[in-house]
Amino acid sequence: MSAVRPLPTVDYLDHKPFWDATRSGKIMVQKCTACGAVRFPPRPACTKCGSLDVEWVELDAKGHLYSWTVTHVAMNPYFADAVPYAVVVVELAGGEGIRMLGRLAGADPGALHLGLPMRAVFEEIDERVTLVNWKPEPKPRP
Amino acid sequence: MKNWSSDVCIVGVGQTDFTRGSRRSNITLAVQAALAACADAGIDSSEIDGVLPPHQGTSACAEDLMANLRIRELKYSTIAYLGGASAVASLQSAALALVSGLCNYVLAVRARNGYSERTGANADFLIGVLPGSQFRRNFELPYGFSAPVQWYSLMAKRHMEEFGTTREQLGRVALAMRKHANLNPHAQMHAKELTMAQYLASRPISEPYHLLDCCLETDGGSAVILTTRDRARKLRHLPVSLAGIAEGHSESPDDLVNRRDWLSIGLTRAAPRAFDMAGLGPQDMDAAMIYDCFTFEVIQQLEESSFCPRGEGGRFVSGGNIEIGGTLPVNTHGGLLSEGHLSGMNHIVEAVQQLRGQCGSRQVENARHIFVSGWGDLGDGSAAVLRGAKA
Repeated sequence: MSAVRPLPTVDYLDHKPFWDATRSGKIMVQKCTACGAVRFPPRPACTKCGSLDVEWVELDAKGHLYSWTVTHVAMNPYFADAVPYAVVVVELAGGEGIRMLGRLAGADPGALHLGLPMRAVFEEIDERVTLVNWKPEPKPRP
Repeated sequence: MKNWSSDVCIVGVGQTDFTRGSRRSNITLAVQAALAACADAGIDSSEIDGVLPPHQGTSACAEDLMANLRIRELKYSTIAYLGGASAVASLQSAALALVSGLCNYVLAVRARNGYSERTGANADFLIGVLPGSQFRRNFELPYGFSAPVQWYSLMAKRHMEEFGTTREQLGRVALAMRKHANLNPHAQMHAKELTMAQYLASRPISEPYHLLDCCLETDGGSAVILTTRDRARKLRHLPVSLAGIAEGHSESPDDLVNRRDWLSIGLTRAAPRAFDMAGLGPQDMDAAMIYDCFTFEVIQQLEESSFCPRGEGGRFVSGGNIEIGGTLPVNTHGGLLSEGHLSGMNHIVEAVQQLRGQCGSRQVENARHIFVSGWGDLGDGSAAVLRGAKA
C-alpha cells in the first residue's frame, strides 16, 4: 500500500497534551479551573462557563459503547486493505458524558451492543504517535 | 417570530439535465441553470443584482456568474456555509437582501459535477471545508472515519438500537423516493424501478448504510430567482412566497461525537422558527421536501421538525404516508436519493413547481404550503415554509 497513513498532528497546540499522554498509555482531557467541567475534544474555552483557564486531568481508560458503524468501503486509500472495519464511539466512565471515537480492536462487530463495557487499547504507531482504539472488557470470571 | 419574509417570492426556477457525465464545467452548468430560471421568471439575466453561489469551493463563484450572466451591477453576494443546508439557508440571505431594499432580483444557484469529480466522499476535500476541521483531522481521520456516510451511519445505528427502527423502514424511504422518481422524467432514476428485495440486497457501504441508503452522485445545475412581491406581480408565473425561513445549528456544532443529544440537529431549532414565522404548523403542510442525503436522515428530520414524535419516524414512513396520495408526500421529485444530488436546490425547485401546479402525474392535489428542509455538515439545518399563490 503506497498511500500515506493519515496521522494526527500531535503538536497542534490545543491538542498536544492529549497526544503526549497517549504515549504513556493515559487518557487526559481538559478540566475548567473556573467551573470544574471536563471537556473533549480540546478547545480553548469552556463550553459551560466560557473560561479560558484550564488544567489537564486523567480519565479512566474505559467506558461503554454508544454507537458504531462497520465500514466496507475505504474513504481514504490508506484503509483499502483494512476494510471491513468497525469504528466505535465510547462514552467514558467518569467523564461527564465525554465520548471518544476509535477503531474496534480484537472483537467481532457482530457481538457489539449499546452499553457494552469497553476498554482503551493504545496503538503505538511510531515514537511520536499513539492512537487510542477500543475493545470490549473481558467478562469477569464467575 | 416576526413574519418578515412573506413578501419575498420565488419567481423563477431552472435546471439543467441531471446526468452521470455532463461533459460541461461547473460554471457552464451554473450559467445554464441560471439562464433557465431567468427565462422561467421572464427577466433578463442582466437584471440580477444579488448572487448566492454554490458553497462547494470547486464550483462557480459570484464573479464567474457576474461575467457570464452579463450582470451590470452586483450589489450583494454571500455563501451560507452549512454544507447541504446551504441551499435553503441561501433563501434567508436572499430574503434579507430583498427586504432591506438592497437588491431587486437575487439568484441562488447550485452546480456540481458530483459524479464526474466524485467530490462527495473525497476526505481531503471535505476536511478542508468542514467545521472543526482540526477535530476531523486529529480525532477521526486517523481511525479511518472521514465521510458523511460514516458520520450519519453512527446516528442511524443509535436510533435503530434505541427505538427499534429497522432496515425495512429505512428501505421504505428509498422505495418512496424511487416511486416518485419513476413519475418524474427529469430524475436520474426515472426508468429504474426498485423493490424491497433489491434494496435489502444492496452492498454495504458503512453499516447500517448500504448503497441504496445513499443519495446519488449527479452532474447538473439548479437555480431559483427571488424578488419582492410588487415586482413578482408583473412576472410570468403566480408567485410562491417565503412564508417562513430559518437556519439552525445544534449544541456542539463543531463535533458530532460529543453532542449530548445525537438526534437534536440544526433543524430541531430551525423548523419551529420557520413554522412560527408562517403562523402554521407541520399539520398544515401539504407536502415536504426533506434533504435526503441518506435514508435515515429523512426519518430523523421528520421527527425533529415535529411531523411525528421522536422515535416514531420509522413507523411514520412505513404506511404509505410519505408517498404521493399519503398524508405527507415527501420529495415528490424523487429527492437526492432518486432524482439527483443538487444539494437540495432541486427540493426548492420541486416545491415551487408543486405550488404552481406544474407537476403532471406527480402533482399533489391542492398543494398550498410546502415545507423544505436542509441538512449539512455535522447536522446544520435550515427550514423554509413556501406558500402558493392560491393559499
